[in-house]
Amino acid sequence: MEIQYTFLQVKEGMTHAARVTVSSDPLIDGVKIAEKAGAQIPSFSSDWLEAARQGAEKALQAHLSLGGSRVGIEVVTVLGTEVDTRQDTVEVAAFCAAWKAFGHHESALKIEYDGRWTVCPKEAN
Amino acid sequence: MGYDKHSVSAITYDSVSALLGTGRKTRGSADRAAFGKSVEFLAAEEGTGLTFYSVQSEADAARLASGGTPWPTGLQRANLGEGLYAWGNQADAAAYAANKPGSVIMQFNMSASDYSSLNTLDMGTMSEDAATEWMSTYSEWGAAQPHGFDHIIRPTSMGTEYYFSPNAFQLFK
Repeated sequence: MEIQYTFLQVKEGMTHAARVTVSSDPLIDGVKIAEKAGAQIPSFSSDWLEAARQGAEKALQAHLSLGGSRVGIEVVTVLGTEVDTRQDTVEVAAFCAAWKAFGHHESALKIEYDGRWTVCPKEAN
Repeated sequence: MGYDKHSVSAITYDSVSALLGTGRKTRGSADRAAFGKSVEFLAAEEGTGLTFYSVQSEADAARLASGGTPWPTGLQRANLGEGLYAWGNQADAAAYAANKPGSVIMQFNMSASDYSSLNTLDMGTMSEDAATEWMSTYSEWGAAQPHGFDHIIRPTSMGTEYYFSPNAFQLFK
C-alpha cells in the first residue's frame, strides 16, 4: 500500500514543503528508490532523492528500534518546488511517509526547526 | 518605463551568468533602475507603475505573449493556481533563471492604480500558523481550493514571489 505524506510549514515567513510517496514491501531489504521516483523533480534537485532515502532509512531504524518487524520501503515519488523544497524538508516528508507505512501514527513524531527541519519519534527523547 | 506589453526581454540564460557575475551587466537605464530593488521601491521612485520579472521557457514566453492560455496547472507550475508567477526585481529573476538553460526573463508592467485595485493577499503579513493553514487550504501543497485573490505576495527562499490571476494578467500593459 502506498502512503503519501506532504510536509508543509511556513517558518520565518517562508514556506517549507515536500511531498513523498512510499510503499512498504517485505521483499525489499532496507530502502529502495524507485526508478522513476525523481521523474517529476528538476534535474538540479537530484539530491532530493538521497534526502528521501535518508529519511526513509531513519524511519526504518526508528521502527526497528521500537521492536517493529523488518519491512522494506520503496520511495515511489519525490515531489517539490524549487522555491519551497529543500533537502531537509524532503527528508522529513520521507521519514513521516515511511513511519506511517510502518503502521505508526504521525502524532508520535516530534518535528522541530532550528534552521533546518528534523524529525524523530517522541519516545526517543 | 516604456516596456512593450508582454515583451520578451533580451535577457536570456546566456546573459544570466554575466548578470550574476562581478561585473553585473544590465541593458539600459530602466534595467539599472530595476536591478536589485523591490517593486514597491520602484513605484515610489518612478510613480509610473510596477515592473515584474518572470522566468519562462521560450514556449511559455510565446504563450504569455499571446494572452496566457492555456495556463499551466499543478504544484510545480501553478502552486497558487492558474496565472502568472513573477519576481519583483531582476536580480531575483536572474537567480531563479540561472539553472534553467534556454529560459528567458519576461518583463511585465502594471500601472500603480491598476496594481492598487487588485484583490491582494500579502502572505508576509500573516502569522506562521495562519500562513501554514492558508497554504494547506488553497495551495497545491494542500487542498488547492479556489482562493479568489487576483494577486498574492509570497516570501520564498529565493525572494518574494508575485502571483497574478488570469484576470490580473490582463492589466499588464
